[in-house]
Amino acid sequence: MKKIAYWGGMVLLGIAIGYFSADFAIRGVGLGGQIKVGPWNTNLANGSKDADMYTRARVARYGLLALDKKETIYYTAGTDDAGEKLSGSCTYVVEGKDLAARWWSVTAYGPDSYLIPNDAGIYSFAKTTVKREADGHYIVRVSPDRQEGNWVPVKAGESFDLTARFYNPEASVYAAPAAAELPHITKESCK
Amino acid sequence: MKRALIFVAGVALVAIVVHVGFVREMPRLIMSKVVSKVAEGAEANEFRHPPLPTATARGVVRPSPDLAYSVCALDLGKGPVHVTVPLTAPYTSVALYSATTDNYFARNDREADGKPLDIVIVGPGATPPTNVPAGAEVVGAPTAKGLVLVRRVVESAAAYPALDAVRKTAVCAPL
Repeated sequence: MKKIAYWGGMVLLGIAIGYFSADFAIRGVGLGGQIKVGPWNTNLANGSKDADMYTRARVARYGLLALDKKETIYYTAGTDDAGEKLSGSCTYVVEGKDLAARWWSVTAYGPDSYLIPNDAGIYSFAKTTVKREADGHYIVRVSPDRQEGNWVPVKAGESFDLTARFYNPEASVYAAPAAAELPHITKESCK
Repeated sequence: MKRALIFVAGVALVAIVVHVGFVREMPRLIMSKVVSKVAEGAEANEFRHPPLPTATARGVVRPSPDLAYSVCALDLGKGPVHVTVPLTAPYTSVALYSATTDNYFARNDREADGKPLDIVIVGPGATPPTNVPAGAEVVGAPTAKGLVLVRRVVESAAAYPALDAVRKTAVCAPL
């Protein structure tokens, strides 16, 4: 009996320490190198041949099938410019200039990280579809209610976030990702 | 005293084996799950062209609604695989991923000057094939299993039918 407790305890304790230390080593650091531009966040890690086993594990969990930063860079915002969490019950004005890339888009995601169901079938605005002001800049309303002009629907009562994608970003973006220009997000009204 | 020392050493040994095993095997496990999910019943070495993601898409989190993907689950165990992909503006990229998540090859339409991508993918340790088609580039893969992922930007709803027809001309097949 004592023998079973001794050897069994050894194995179980070893498994527990091994598992939790591995999980901690992967999760604890996240992907690292978090970069912020206003409410927008990015990190530039992806699956490279030179990765060590911890980096690989982190990429598998947090950045699977990502591309090199010269191909695409993603920024995600979960708050408005004032730092308040984005709510599907509010209307936001998203205003900015063309992102510095060959092609770009901004997409809304629900709290489950999937596209938000809506009758209009609109999930994003993009370089080739957004309507522009006379000087070329755009004003988009993100709102649960239909809007005049550019509109991206979200769901009242649920949080959401926005992801901006740069396809073939200009060199300035991946050289200094913290200095990239991204649209402003301002709360206009709430239900 | 000696029993206590052996206990501590034993715990440490088991912990190290579990720790390293977990960290090393996790990418492979996650990758093989994702590959079988995106391949959705398609044979290995064959392109699938899923429709544009909508709110009902549940394959991968945070799908891009403006990207027409093409995917081919690679199995180089039976020999090299020939992949040709038409590359369209405003952005198309072809990325190869190993079974351990490494992105070991990527090419976009700008780098390829608008010409189609034409590559022969060879498994690890395999002898280079002698029947490589003229103009095709040979790419060595670090693992036999893996994924070809094509991301094709659809710049507007009106552009989709033509781009959908073009992407279906892509080929992923044993050489």
